[in-house]
Amino acid sequence: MSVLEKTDRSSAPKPAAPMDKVTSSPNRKNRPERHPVKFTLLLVVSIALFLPFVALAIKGLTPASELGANSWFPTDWRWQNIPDAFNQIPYFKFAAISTFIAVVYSLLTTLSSALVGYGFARLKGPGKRALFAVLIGMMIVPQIVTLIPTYLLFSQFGLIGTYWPWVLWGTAGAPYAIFLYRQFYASFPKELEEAARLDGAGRLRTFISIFVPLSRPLMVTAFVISFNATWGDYVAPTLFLNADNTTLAVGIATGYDNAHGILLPQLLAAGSFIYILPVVILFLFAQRSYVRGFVSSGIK
Amino acid sequence: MTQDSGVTRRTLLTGAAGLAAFAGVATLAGCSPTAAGGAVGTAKKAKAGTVTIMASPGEITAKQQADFEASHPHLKLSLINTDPTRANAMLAAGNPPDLFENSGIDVTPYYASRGIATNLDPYFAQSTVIKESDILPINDVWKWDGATQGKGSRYGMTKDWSQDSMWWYDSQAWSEAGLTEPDPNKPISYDELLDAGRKLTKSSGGTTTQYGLFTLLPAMDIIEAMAATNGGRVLQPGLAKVDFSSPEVTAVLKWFLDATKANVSYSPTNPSPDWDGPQYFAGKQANVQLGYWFNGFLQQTAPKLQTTTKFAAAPMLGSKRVSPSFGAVGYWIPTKAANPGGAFEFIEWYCAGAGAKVRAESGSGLPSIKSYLPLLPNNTKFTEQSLAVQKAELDFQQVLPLASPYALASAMNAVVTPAFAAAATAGDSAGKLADALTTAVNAVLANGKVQLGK
Amino acid sequence: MTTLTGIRRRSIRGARRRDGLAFYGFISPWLLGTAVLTVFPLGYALYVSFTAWDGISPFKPWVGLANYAEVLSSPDTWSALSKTLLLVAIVVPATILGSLVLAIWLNEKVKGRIVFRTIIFLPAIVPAVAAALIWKVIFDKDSGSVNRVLGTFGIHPVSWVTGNNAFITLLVVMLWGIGAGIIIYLAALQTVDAEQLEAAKMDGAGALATFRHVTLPAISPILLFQTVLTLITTLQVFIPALLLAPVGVTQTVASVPVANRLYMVDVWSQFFQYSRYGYGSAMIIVFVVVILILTAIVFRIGGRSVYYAVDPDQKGDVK
Repeated sequence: MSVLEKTDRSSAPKPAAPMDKVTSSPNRKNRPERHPVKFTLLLVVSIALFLPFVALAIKGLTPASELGANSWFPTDWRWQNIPDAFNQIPYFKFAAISTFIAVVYSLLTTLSSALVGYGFARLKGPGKRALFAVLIGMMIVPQIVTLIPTYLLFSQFGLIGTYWPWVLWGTAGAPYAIFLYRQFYASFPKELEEAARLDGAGRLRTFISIFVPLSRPLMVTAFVISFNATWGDYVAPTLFLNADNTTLAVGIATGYDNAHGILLPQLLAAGSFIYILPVVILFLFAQRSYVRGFVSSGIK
Repeated sequence: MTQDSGVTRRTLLTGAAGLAAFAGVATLAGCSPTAAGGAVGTAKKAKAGTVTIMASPGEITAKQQADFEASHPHLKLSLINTDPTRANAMLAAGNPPDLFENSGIDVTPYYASRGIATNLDPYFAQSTVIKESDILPINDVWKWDGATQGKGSRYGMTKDWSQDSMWWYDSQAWSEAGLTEPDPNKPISYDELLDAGRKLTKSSGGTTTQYGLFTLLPAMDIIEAMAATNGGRVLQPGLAKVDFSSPEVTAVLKWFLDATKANVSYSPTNPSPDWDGPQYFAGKQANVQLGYWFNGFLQQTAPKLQTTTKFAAAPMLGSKRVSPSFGAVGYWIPTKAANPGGAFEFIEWYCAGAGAKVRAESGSGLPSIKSYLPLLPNNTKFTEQSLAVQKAELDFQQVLPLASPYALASAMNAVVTPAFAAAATAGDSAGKLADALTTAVNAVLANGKVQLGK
Repeated sequence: MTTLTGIRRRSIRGARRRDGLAFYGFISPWLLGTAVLTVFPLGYALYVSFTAWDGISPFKPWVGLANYAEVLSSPDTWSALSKTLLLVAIVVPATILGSLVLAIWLNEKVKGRIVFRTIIFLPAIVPAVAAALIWKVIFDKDSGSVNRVLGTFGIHPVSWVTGNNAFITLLVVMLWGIGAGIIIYLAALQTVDAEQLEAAKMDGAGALATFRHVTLPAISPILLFQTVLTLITTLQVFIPALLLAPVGVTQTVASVPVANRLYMVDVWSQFFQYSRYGYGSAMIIVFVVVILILTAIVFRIGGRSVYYAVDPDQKGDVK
């Protein structure tokens, strides 16, 4: 117990240590550093990557009759496309469903993948190498080939049209996330367990009280990635949910058609813009975890 | 006859192997394709409860759903978006929706020959909503007798349709180019159309500002339709082989190659960023090859163009006037549907009853029954002109051999389009292209035969 | 509560068994999930690969190894595979290095880094259908932005989505998503020892030397992860190629230009254009074997240069 507490305690005040050194150092200042070259390069890259969004925004404000025109901007900006995009499909209902599925799945998969990743990184057992190969194999199998049999499986248990598949997938963890945790945990010093072991803490306790707190940046990353993947997934909701209880990704991809089955690109563009906002906000929050040296200083 | 007993035995064995390998999953039960024509069952009564429909998103609006449920209080609609994987998975699991929305032209021989679609003859026979004498001939595309589309039992019903090789043009563009406007009632020849297309095309600095001809989409349907005006056919009797090398068909390919080379339109070598509608509205195309349904779309989307746009009879390559439909989208009921009776009540309402009436009045396609033809919009100069041309064209509607039990049109077109693009880029002759297409499409059909266990 | 002497007294075999139990306990969510959720689908896929199933019929004619024979003998397979490998050879290194460099810059206290990080990550969030619209607006021959810009310099319109140009356009589209990986690198960079970085700076080590001796070893396990993941996902790319393909009236893909017929594009087309579920499944199984081999090579090479504090592959006792 005592060792555990020590480890815990030591993780809290320690991040200050390098900072002390920094502030005490005469030629180092604790404020945003100037990186004119990096700043300029990042600016150029960002502008290049952002231009396509400008194109999308313009499309989202173009009237239907001008969609094919050879011009940079529409002659007549149609702001009505935005409310139309909300009204064409049950936008907020779908958004709520997407949020629910994405949060449930991401929470479950972030935790269970961490558990499994820890097992693969730091525990020993017969058949571990073979099982790891199986895990990598699971990453490799393209989804296209397992769609129909997965449907058959869920259909047998009456799970079609429900959100249970996401709970099951989340609990099982995602192979790529497990692999990511494994790589991460394998780079933590050996001494972490030794200290806990001397103290007699069980494996699970060691994991929960030492490894989980130290892996906050990674957990946030895993959460954002799986949230984004679920939020944006079109295939699984199409297959396992119905038109009235589906996700926003499906709503966006299929709902902006008129009665002739013809796409209304201007509404799709307008709808897409708002669609990406939740992930952007999540990403903004996530960035607070990317604090330099967070993990390393916690380990010391 | 498309099936024989050998198929049955073999597929049963296969199914058994599958069961043995995956014991416990009852849904894998192997069963055989039904004999040609399918078993004629009896019409089932509607079960109170849900009717599940797989349809394109946006096809059945919330208002239509509410209207249907109001007039059929014992039924509720549950909608699933069209998705091939979902459709196949549901069929494989043995719990398909009660209704599928598809193009009758494309799917009838394919699904009926696989025993997936319900023979609807008994349903039509007992229907009080749909009278046999009122059904327009377009619904023959849903007929299949085991060898020929257009004959035999009904497997579905069209919701609305068009004659898809007809075309629309901007009369102002013609006068601006100094051309005499064509007579919309008299079919123009494809050669005249190409000549006009050359004159209608405007470009500056390598950028084309207006194409004089609609997008060229050399696919099975239009090739077959053009060949029919020449008295030829691509898909041979038996529907298991194609032949592009007859002079009647080679002439079609030659026209497409010439038109592509002329560079007066979008084509497989100069792909369009969109479909023809928005391009036409933006003045980037002087004409579009679309059926009557475009009438309603144009009114809603670009009403200003009503003053200059005219609808015209399907062009002809040869001298025989033929004007088929390429879609005839409608509904069919899978054999394993849980509520076929309820499903048929939806067909009655949506394709021939109150639901169809509202759509006919909007001019978004032609109705499936004769008695609704007078409802088509006829209140402006634009709708009057398009309706008159359309009415005259009805006489030339015909079920062409466009579909096969061995391959869906999408499969055949998946080899036709790239082969055409390759030939156009290489400057191949029509004869060479014909041979390449014959080989490629026959290979697709041969795979389809294997899939049916032949 | 076990005491130190207690642990020592236990037989090695007992300790191993307990370790094994702990290992299986930890991985049980995944192991059970895999058994329940993926064994049947994989078996089914394998079975389908020996049939001529059309995806829709209730019957699946058994064709034995015929599908495999066709996959291996078809010139399409090899041409698709070579295009896919070319794409991988360009995109994988560019993505791994590019996003690493971006992440390192974005980990510095650069002004506006939150905005930069967000914009660079943004392409990873865009729904595919919206991306399709974007590329049409940008690459269309007559009205596209790229040609309009080139036009101001007097350059004639280029057809970006046909012929061999289509491959270049595909590369551009894929590299647009270069920032997707920064989120993983940013997490990895937090494991780098701040004190060591500081010490290196004090010693007057250059940025490059610091990177090589401090940062790189620390993040090397994550670099291996990124390499494996990027390799697998790039090999399986097909959606961008479909998005760039010309569409028909009903928004269906008419045809992907030959230059962009990657392996998974062909697979997609076997499933959804030709309804050849049996053949498509066989194509996938062959491809999985190819990817497994390539991944094993990466693990072999990468394994040597990765620095683990605790080697996850190491045999023997952990203490």
